Amino acid sequence: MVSITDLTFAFKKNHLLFNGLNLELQAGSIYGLFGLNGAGKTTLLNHISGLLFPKSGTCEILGKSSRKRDPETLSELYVLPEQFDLPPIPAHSYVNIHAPFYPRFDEEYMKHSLMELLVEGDKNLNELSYGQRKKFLIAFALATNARLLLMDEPTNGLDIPSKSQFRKIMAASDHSKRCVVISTHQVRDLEAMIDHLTVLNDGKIIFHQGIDNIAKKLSFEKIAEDDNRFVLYSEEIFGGKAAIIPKKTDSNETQIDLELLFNGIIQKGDVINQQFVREAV
Amino acid sequence: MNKPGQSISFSMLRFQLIIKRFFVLNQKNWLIGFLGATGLLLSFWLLPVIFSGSASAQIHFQSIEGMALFFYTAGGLALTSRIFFELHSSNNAFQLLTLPASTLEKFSAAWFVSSVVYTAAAITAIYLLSIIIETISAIRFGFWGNFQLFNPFENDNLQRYASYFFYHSIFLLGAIYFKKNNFLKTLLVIITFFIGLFFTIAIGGLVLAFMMVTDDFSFEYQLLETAAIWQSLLTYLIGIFLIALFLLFGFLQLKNKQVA
Repeated sequence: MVSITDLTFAFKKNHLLFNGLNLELQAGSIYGLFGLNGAGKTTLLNHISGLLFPKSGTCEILGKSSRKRDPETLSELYVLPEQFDLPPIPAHSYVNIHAPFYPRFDEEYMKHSLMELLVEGDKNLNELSYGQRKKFLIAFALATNARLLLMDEPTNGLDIPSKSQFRKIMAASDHSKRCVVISTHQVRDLEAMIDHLTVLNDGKIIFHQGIDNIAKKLSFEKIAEDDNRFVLYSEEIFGGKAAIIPKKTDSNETQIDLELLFNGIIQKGDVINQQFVREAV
Repeated sequence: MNKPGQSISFSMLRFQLIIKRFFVLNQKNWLIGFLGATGLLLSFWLLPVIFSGSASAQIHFQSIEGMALFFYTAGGLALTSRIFFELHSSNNAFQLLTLPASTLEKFSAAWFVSSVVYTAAAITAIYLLSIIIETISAIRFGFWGNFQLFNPFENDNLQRYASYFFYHSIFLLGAIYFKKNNFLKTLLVIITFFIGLFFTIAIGGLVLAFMMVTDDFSFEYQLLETAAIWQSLLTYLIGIFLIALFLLFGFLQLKNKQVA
C-alpha cells in the first residue's frame, strides 16, 4: 500500500529530518505512528499524502509516486490533519462538493456517523467547535472508503465521550482492505485500536512491529525492586516497577502497555528490537 | 451522485466538479463584489442626476461605462488573486492539494471560472445595469427614444476583455506564487516591470537619439514604417505567447506546491 525507500528530507539546509527512512505499510492494518515532539510524524504523513516532496528517495502509494498527486491515487487517500480550517458552508454543502471525488463515498454511513458523533450538521462548519469539526472530518474520512487513511492526532481536541465514540466508530468500520495510519501522542487513546506500532525517532523508523508479535515477544509486568529477572526496560511506579521483560514461550501473554513500550523503545530501542531480531534470525 | 472515472487523463466531470467547488467556496466573496460594484456604479450615476438640478440633464449609462469596465477588470483581478487562497495556509492546503483531481484540472478550472465565467457574468451584469439605468432615466425624463445600452461587442470593449485575459494570467500566477497579499504583490510586480521597461526604453531612446545626432543615423523612416505594419499583429502574438507562458508558470507552481 505504502512504500517509502531511502527517504531524505530537510526543512533547513544541513539539518536533515529524515535520512534514509524506509517503511512499508500494508492494507488491512491500523498503524500507530508514535514519536517524540518534532520527530517528524506530521512531516512523514505529509510525504505519504504528497503534500511534501522528498529531497531524495521515493514515497509510493499503490505503486505510484505520491508527489505526482494523480487523481487515481488521491481518490484512494484521505488525510485528516491535526490542525485544519473548514469553509463557512453547511456540512451537507461540504459533502456535496467533495464526496463525488471519492468513487466509493458512502453518504448513508456519513449521515449515520454524524448522528453517532453528535455533530450539528445544519450549522456552518466554521461555526462548529474544534472538536465538532474534527468529528465531522473523521466521519467524512471514513465515509470516503479510501484505501489509505492518514490521521494526525485524531483524538486531540475530542472530549472523553467523543474519544470513546471515535474508538467505537473506528472499531465498527471495515478496515480489511484499508490501511490506516494514526499518528498520536495520546498513546492510551489507541491502545485497543492499532494492530501495528511504528516509532519514529531521529529521522528513522526505530521500531515497526505488529501488536501480535509484540505480545508474543514481550511481557509487561509490575515487578518488585528486588526482582532479578532480565529486564529490558523499567520505570518506577507506585509500589514497584513497570517493566518490559522478554516473554517466555510458555508464559501467558500480557496486556501491552503502549506508553511503557514507547518509552522503552525511545530509551533502549536496540535492546528491545533485539528480541524481534532473534526470531527472524 | 455522479462519480468521476478515476482516469489520470483530463476528466470533464472532475473539471465541472472543481468549478462547482470554486463557486460554492467563493460565492460569498463574489456576491459581495458584484453587489458592491453595482451599488457604487448606481451611486456614481445617481449623484449627478440628484445634484444637477436640471431636468434636461439626462445622464445615460455611457457616463459610467468606463467605470463599470474598470470595476470589471479590477474586481476580476482581485477575485482571481484569491481563488487559490487555500494553498497558502497549512490548515487549508490539504483540501485542495489532496482533492482527487489532476493539477491540470484544478488549474484549468480556476482559470475558466475567473476568466471566462467571470467575464460572461460581468458583461451580463453590466448589460442589465445599463437596461436598469436607461429605463430609470427614460421614466424620469419621459423620453423613451434614446436608449444607450451597453454594447459588449464594441471594439474597445473587446480589447478590454483581451487586456483582462492578459493581466488575469499574471494575477493567476501571483495567486499561486505569493503567500499573502497576492493582489497587491502582483500589482507591485507589474508596476515595477513597467517602470523598468520605461527606463530601458528611455535609455535606449537616448542612445538612439545620440547615434542619430553623431552618426547621421538613417534607419528612422524604415523603423517606423515596419513598426506600424506589424504593431497590431505583434501585440496580439506577443500577448498570446505571454498569456501561455504565465499560465504555464502558474500550472508548474501549482504542480510543485507543497505545504508550508
